[in-house]
Amino acid sequence: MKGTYLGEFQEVVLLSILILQEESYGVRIQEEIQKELKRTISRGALHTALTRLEEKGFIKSEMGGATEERGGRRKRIYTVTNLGKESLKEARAVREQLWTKVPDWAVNINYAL
Amino acid sequence: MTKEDRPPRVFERLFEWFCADDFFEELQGDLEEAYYHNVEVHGTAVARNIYRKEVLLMLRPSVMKKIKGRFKNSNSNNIDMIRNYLKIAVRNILGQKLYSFINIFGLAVGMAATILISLYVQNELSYDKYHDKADRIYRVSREWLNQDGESSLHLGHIAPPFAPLIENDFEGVVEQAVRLMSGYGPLMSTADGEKQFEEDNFFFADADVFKVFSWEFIKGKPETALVEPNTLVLSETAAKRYFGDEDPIDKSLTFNNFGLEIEMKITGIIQDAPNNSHFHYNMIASFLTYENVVGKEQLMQQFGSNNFSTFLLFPEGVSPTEFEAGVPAFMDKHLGQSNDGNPASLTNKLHLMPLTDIHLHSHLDSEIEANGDIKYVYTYIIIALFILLIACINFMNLSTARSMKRAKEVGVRKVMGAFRTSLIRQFITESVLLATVSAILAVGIVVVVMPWFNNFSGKQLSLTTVDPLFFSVLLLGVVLVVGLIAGSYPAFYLSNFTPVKVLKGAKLNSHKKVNLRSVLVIFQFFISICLIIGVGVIGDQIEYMKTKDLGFRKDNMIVLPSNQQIHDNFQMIRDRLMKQPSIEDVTFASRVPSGRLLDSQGGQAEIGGEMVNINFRIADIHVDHSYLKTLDVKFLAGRNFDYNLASDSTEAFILNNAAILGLGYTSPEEAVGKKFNYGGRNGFITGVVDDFHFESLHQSIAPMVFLITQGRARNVIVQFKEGMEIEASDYLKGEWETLRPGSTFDYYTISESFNDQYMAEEKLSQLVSYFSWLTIFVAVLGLFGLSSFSIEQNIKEIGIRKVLGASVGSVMYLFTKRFAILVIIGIIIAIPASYYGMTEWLSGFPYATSLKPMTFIVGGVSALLLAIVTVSYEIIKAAVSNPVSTLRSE
Repeated sequence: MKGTYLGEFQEVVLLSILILQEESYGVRIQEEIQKELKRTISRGALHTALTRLEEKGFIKSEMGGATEERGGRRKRIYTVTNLGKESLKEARAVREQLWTKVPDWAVNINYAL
Repeated sequence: MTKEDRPPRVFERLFEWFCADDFFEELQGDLEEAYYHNVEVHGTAVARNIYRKEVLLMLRPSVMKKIKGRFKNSNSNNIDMIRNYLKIAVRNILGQKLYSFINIFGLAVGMAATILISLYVQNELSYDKYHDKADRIYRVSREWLNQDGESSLHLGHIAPPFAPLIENDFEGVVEQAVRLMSGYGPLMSTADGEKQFEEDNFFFADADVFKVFSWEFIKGKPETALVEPNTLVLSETAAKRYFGDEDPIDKSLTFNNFGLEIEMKITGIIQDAPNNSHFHYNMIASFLTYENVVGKEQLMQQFGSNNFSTFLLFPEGVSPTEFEAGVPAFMDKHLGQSNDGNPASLTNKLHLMPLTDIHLHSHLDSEIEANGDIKYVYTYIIIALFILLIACINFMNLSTARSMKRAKEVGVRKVMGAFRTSLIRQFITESVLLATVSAILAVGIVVVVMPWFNNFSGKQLSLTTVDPLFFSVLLLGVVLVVGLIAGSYPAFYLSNFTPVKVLKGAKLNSHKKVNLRSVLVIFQFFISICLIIGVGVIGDQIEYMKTKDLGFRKDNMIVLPSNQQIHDNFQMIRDRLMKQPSIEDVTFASRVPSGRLLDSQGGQAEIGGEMVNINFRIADIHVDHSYLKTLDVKFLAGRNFDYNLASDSTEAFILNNAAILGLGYTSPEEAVGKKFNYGGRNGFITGVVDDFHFESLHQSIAPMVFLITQGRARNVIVQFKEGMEIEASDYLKGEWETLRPGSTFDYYTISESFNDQYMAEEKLSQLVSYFSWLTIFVAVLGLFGLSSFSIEQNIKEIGIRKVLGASVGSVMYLFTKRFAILVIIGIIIAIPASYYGMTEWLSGFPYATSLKPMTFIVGGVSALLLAIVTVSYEIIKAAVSNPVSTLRSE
């Protein structure tokens, strides 16, 4: 199932788009990810991820309205497609299943090694 | 909206240029939105930086325009062909790893050497050019001629009256004349006495010095800093040393030297003297300070006190020749006639040298600091070019040798309609690509060896401080030159193949007796061997200078600085020191062997019953009674100074043989007892000593006179007992700390000091030896590539020979011979060439070693052995291989 495979970063991007809803365009997604993940990502890197996701059909996009602070340029608003939502859910399910198999004691953090 | 508020324009444009149209609008909008957001949060500077970074990080395939699509529109297949050339080139590089490695690594080493030496040379050539008026500043030097018009002394320092007189007499021709005089290492201390240091780079300078030189003021004003007496300007570093982070302005430092104690007020802080200055200051005090001590009238009479570096600034558009033309009249006017009745201009000259030439071209009898030498700069450039050339030759040789492999490709390309020019372009592209890869590697090598190179050259070069424009031009130049030179021969050679022949499989490398490849190998070894022999001869000369018998005892001598107190109590101190078991003898003198002989005065000698003026320069050394005994100089006639004869302190002169011969006596015996006047003292020649090397072996033995003068004890010489240097210096340290309170105890030994004179040769020898081994390494690398290729080509021949009964030894002999002959021819040419070159070099020394055959033999044989060892690796491998494995397939 290579086509629906979700990378960690792609998953984060998809979730951010879902959080931001109609405000989900480039800089906002970038901000959201930087805020939540506490790491810097470049707009260029984000663009690559978005392009890849759109190629796979996980998201679709349309040009939205222009605002003053963007020098009158329009922004591209992203939305997650059903396919994208499915693969997100699937990724989550896989993880949760894996988590159920992990014994509690195995994740106890043991500092006294 | 002002310009400052906008994102960086260049990066905006850049982004516009490379961003694909499909995404441009949204991405630029995003960048801009983020930018204005950042301006509010972090400020403009940070926002601009983030913007730049963001744009650079946009350089990724998903954002950029598709290159292919872009050029397709231009409707040309050139780009496709270049892409194909590059593809083939990359395949070739990767497919032939050994040869590619030899090529790239050899070129990289050559380039690294070139880059290093270029940086070095650029630095050497940049001396003093940082001054705004550098092209209008000249230094004045003073030359003395004897009656035959020969130069007897040429000093970079002149007398104090000259500068004001020049300013006065040459109004309109000379804009400024400024003097700098060393403070001779005064002890400087803060008011509370907490911090005190001896300052080597202390100068007194005229107030106008900052109108001539453009050192940057950090605090204070250049116009007023040195106008008042007892004012002082510090370099940044010096200021830190005394005052830490406090503001030193209006604080004071106390100057302590020549028995004077002067409190000086700090009126300015200037930048540290840049490294590329021919002299470096730590402190500059106002000239009036010094003038007030000596007295202005007095100072204007001191035409014999040549301690003042004098610089002239000419107005714009005025040629210095106008000044030079006026010098003779000027000298006659102020110096009058010399004592033989001739005008002063016949024996006294002033010369000009442009400020920017001083570092590399000035080698006078006195300089502010030791200068560099343009000869060494040339030597370095030549060596760098040689290494680069040898690496290029490797490239050419390996490419043509491998042409067999490429011949079919060339044939096919030609059949498919390739023009010769396009083939040439292909091979040039390939070599430029290789050169580019090498250049990247070379920069890496430079970064790695830079600290070592700096340590050794005494420079502070760094890739971070070098002018980026200069560096990129240099790098690009090297890549293009190497790419074109190295690529041109293979390009023309390979593109010349006839397609029918090569496709049929005809053998290309017809075994011509002499082909270009052999010539190039011979040339490589010729150069390498010349360099190795050069290293040997330089080493021989250094060894010769260090071990030559100087004619006196230079071992076990410590030289210590003196001062007024030591002067006054010399006999008492001497007696005390002599009681020490570790000390053999104590003496003092104005000059110490290994130093320069810069003092001289005029006089008369009794020749044939008459007193005749001495018309050549006899250098004087003021000594005490035991000086010549301590140095163990050989007497040819007469006697040494005698403690028991009181008149010896005022009337006795001892001359060396050179002086006696110069005066025209037929023998030393004849001279003894003759009347002799010198520097106003009348007396007799009481003894004649054999010539000995007082100065370094760079100088011929000068005529010298020794006389006893109390109060000229600039240096105290202590001879310690063999093997007791540590005991003696420990004792002297304690003694000197009480005699010269506050000063640091430093001493040197005469034999060390002699060896220090040969530092320039030592450096040259080191550099030439490193780089000559580098050239031979690159040459051997190429030979290795060539030999392994030749074996690969002839592996079947070896197989057949073995089948027919040849032994491993005979196969080895046969193949080694082919390469050894080339090296031997190289040796045969190199020996006369280096013999000639090194004879030239040695002729610059008055005392030179003879060329030893051994040096030549060692150079040649080591190159030959190295070459044989290198080629035999592949040859042995082939010779011992089983013929079945090589002959099995056809």
